[in-house]
Amino acid sequence: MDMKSLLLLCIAFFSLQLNAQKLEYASALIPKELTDNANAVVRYNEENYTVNSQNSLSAKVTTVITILNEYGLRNLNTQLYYSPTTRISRVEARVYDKMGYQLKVFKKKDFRDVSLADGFSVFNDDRMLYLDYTPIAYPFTFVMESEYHTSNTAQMPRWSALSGYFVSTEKDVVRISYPDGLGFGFKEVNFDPKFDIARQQETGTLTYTARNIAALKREEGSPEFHKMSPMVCFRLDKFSLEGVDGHASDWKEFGKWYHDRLLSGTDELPEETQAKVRELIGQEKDPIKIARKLYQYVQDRTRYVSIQVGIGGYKPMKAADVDRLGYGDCKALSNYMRALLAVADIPSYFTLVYAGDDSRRGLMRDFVSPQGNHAILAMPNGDDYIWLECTSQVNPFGFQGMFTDGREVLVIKPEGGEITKTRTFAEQHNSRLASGNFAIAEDSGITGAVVTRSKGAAYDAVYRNERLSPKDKEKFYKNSYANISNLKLDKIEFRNDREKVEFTEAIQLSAPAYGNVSTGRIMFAVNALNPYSETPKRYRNRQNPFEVERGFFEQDEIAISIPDGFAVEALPSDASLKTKFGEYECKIVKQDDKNILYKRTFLMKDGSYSSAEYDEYRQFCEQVARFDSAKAVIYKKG
Amino acid sequence: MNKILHLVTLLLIATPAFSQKFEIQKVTVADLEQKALPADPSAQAAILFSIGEVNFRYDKEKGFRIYTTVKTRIKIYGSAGYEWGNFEKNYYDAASANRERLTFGDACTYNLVNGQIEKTKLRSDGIFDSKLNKYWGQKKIAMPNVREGSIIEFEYTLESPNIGTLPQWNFQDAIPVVYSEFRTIIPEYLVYSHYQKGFYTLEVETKIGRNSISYRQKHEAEGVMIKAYVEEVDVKFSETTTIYRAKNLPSIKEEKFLSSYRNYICGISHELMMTKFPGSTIKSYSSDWGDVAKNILEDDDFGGQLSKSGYFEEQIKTLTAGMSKPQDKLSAIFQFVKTNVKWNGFRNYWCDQGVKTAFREHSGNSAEINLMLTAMLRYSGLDANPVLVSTRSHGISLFPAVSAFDYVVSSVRIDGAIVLLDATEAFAMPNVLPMRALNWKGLLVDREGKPQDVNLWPASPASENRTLAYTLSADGKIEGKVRRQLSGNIALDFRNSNTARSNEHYLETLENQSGQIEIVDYKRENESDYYKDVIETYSFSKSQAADIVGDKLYFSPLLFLAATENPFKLETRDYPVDFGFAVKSKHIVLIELPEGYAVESIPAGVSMITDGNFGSFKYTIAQTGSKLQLVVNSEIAQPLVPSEAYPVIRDFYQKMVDKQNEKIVLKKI
Repeated sequence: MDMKSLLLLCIAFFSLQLNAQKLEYASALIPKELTDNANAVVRYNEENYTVNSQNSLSAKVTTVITILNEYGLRNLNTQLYYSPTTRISRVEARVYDKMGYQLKVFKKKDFRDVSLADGFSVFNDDRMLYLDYTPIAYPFTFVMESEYHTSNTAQMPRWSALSGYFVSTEKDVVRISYPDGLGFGFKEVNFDPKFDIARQQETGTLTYTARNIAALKREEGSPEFHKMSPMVCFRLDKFSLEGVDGHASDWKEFGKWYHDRLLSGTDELPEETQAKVRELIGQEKDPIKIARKLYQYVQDRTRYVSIQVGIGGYKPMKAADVDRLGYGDCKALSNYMRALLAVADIPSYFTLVYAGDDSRRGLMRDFVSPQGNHAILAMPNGDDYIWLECTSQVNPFGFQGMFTDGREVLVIKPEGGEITKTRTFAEQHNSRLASGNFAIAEDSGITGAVVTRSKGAAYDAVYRNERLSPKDKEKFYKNSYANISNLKLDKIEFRNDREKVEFTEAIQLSAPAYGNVSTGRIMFAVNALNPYSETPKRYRNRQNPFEVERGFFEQDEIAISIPDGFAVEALPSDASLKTKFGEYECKIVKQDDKNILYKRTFLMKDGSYSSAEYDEYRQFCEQVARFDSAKAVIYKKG
Repeated sequence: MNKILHLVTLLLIATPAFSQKFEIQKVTVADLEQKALPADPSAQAAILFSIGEVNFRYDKEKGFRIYTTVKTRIKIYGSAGYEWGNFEKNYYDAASANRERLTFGDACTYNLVNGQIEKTKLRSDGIFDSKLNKYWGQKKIAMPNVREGSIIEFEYTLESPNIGTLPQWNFQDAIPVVYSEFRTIIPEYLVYSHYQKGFYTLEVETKIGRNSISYRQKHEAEGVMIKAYVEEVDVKFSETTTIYRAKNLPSIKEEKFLSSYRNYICGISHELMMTKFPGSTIKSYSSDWGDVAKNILEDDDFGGQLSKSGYFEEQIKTLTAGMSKPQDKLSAIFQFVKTNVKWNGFRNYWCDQGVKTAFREHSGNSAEINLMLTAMLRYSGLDANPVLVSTRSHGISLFPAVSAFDYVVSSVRIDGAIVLLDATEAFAMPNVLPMRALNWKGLLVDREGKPQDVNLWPASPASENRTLAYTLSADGKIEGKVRRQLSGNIALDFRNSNTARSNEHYLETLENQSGQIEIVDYKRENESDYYKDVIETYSFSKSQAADIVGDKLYFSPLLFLAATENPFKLETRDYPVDFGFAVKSKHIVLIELPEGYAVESIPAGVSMITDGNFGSFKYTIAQTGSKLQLVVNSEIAQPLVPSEAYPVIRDFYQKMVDKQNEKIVLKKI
């Protein structure tokens, strides 16, 4: 054999090695129950964590995922985050085709390195390595191996046995080892018996193994993913947060640490500002009235600007800097408000919370660790607190809206922390009360006027309309009255009572044709101004439980007049529904030949329900929608 | 570049001032007291002025460099305008000769405090610099003490070596602009062409002045006769100052059926047309589409890639063996590329990794895929050429410039007709380009570099034909069958969104979108046969589909086929309506009426064509015994409708929606 053939043989052998087959990655081997409802399947995930000391944690993670179709591509996670306190030491990725033949290998240099500056934060020093991979065909299997080290042990990694909706897990293992004396702790979340997850605990090591966890389906009204998906959280009593060491075994200690190490010394204000505060207060003695004034002062003088750098992600900017610059993030502005109240000797407490309109998420009561993504201020008021959202220029005093209502928060007092729940509006307080009238014309045209007063969460949903441009206002109300085609908005007026937290909309509208005209008759829906039409989606096979997080109450009283020379032929009958989901009632009263009075109340209750109850709930909503679209018929006399 | 310029250091002297129509005034108490912008009282912030100046300086080492200085003053009216108190600007920061430098100059916030003007300067703690990625850096400023009523002012200078294009200047923004000015001061050695877009007329003032440049020339000693000395030399050359001004421009925002608001924003761009340095020959860049085509074709990353063929020859030879018809070759090669090379999502007409790598790695950007396709088609003997495209989000390419494009597709001429191809799209058919590429016209570049305008819109409208046959019962229940047939871009959209979706998921969505009907016996045909129309058939039922009032039954005969809302709700519109492609649809509805009922009234037939032939609509209904037959034809004939015709389109849609929702009344007999 000459040299050339030998070389060729070597190359052939070498490429054979490169294209080695990993039979176990073949997609045909995935059990069927894992591919139903799944766009991707985690074939094998292994996370190994080693706590070396209070400020050192190493991690080694291997993930093997099969992406079944293009929808599953969003579950291909090729991102690794790092920061000045977290370093990635190794990353490698490999791609296999559906038979398990290796297609490609990526090394660290193939990953892109980008800043996480997001347009939201003005400054942020977090970065990310990520890989752009274009699949050639589906299914394919992607393997990613990474190792990193962090000095942050306050926020330990969390292990989830499911990585998202429509993703199943074949096998998933987490192993964490920890030295004695750091006060290692853990918490299992959403460990439903239907999930096959085994725990193995030995001295200094804890292991969980999950097998064959079928994908969760995303369905309307479902609780958030993190409320259904099994997860384990880890913590240490002795931890380190961005270079600041801490020790806490309960919330009291944690709060004290936070107060002493991150808050104290940040609340000094220049003498000039203190004087201004005193001048502003004048002779006022009532702490709530004083707080109102100071809250207004903060709203008028500051704006929200996010700057997340290192410990600055946790420690507020100095109140004096906020005072000088007129901006800050949620921590800085809450702390600034705290400093201003302190000038008036009114105590208030920095508070950590998970904020979000869509779903309420509380801090885990029995898991002491830095939690939350937002800060507000708690001002004691008798046995209760007044909650102050300091990042908004328009929020009424003490009004949380849907952003931070009804959830567990950590109130940080100088003597320690305390978990408590913020205020929840009962359904009746999320109300929209409407009164008005409309007239049907001979050609089925409509002219009407309605005044609606909104409170609670309903206030939150509309009070910003005040600041919409004329075009956006037009868009908003044309969508609200989408049931009336060719709508013209003749007048839109608002009154925002920030003290009572009540928003009033006075709308005058008209349209050339509202009802259906046929042979001297006009048929029209009696509830022209507030029909409920959001019937929940119908599922062929509903899987998840569901919740109505914020119920509401609506009351409408509308006077309807019909044109001269016309008479009522048919009116919808009165209706009333009473279910565990809510109550509905409508009454249609013919007052005289020309006038009809329409009265309606609709209460949707808060609640959590099982998947079996979903159809019943949908039917309730559907019935309400049907009653709300019930028609009257009038005819031309003689 | 020119020798003399290399030998000497030039010191450009400040431009001669000439009479300005706009002078920057000091911020006054009245300015700060102003509560709303008179021209748009709902504006939460407004740009009082923004003045940009582009100047050139010569650097001995680096050649000409562009200095763009921008000074902006913004009034904040309401707290929703606070975001205008932060400003960010990206700059090219790769380790190369093209690196840019961005510096912020004076910046301050003015407030009215107890009737006095208070000025707060931006300090260095309000300036943030971050590295976005390998190529780009970003600087942000957060202005201090921004409140309702504040006025902020800031200035930055961007130093750039890229003389190929001048920074684009937009006179319009997302908030109203009271005054905007862009000034270019260009030495005679550089000639730029400029292009203006948008609907507003700019005031232009030009001044050509002779300007002096001083430079120092060092003379070496020559033997014993002449000692070394430095000589001050004056060179006179001309430079052109052009000032573009615009006043009182309204804010511009995204709207429905708008390809990209960038197409309509008032702005100006400059592209280098030629250089004529003293002592060297004139070098011409893009001055017309011919130059653009030639320049692009001569570039290694385009023409160079297009001419490669070694990497695929064997495979294409095998693939097309025995084929003689051009259509067969086209289909085979198009399918071959779509199957073997996937689009990585990047848009460009330059190759990045190159066609060979893309072919080997099975993935590439739009250029690699479509240039490869063009090369393969050419190799098989077809008359194939690339077509440069500006995608919808990039704006319309009216201005002859290499930057006018961001995408490329392929074309084949068969029997004199051009067939357009885009292999980035797995479900694409010949002559059906994905929505992103449907942006008016493309520029075909042939082998010689000769350009030709090509209409990108599909030659025939996309169609959606449905047949609906159902029986209505006296209790308001309906049961029936649907057949739906889709072609063109509608079929492409359908395949894109539904092919990978599970049947159950699709049906759930379809049921919910169709007024919560229940579907059984669902079938889909030609899903993966892209040359045929997608066809789906199913049976459905729904109870309480009709309103029962007294002894009458009311129902909309089109059921869930009827559009329920006019998408054009606003009374006026400033921009054209861009549908992307023309659409033709036909609905045939056959209804079996319940026993014991007679028709009391049916909607009248109607036929209409809009002014300007933008759309047409025809509704005919006929009764035979207990059967009704309804035929509804509608067409949007033109993909792009100018804003002047907005009322026509709005009215047309309203009439269609109203007609489609008209009811049939049945009476008990």
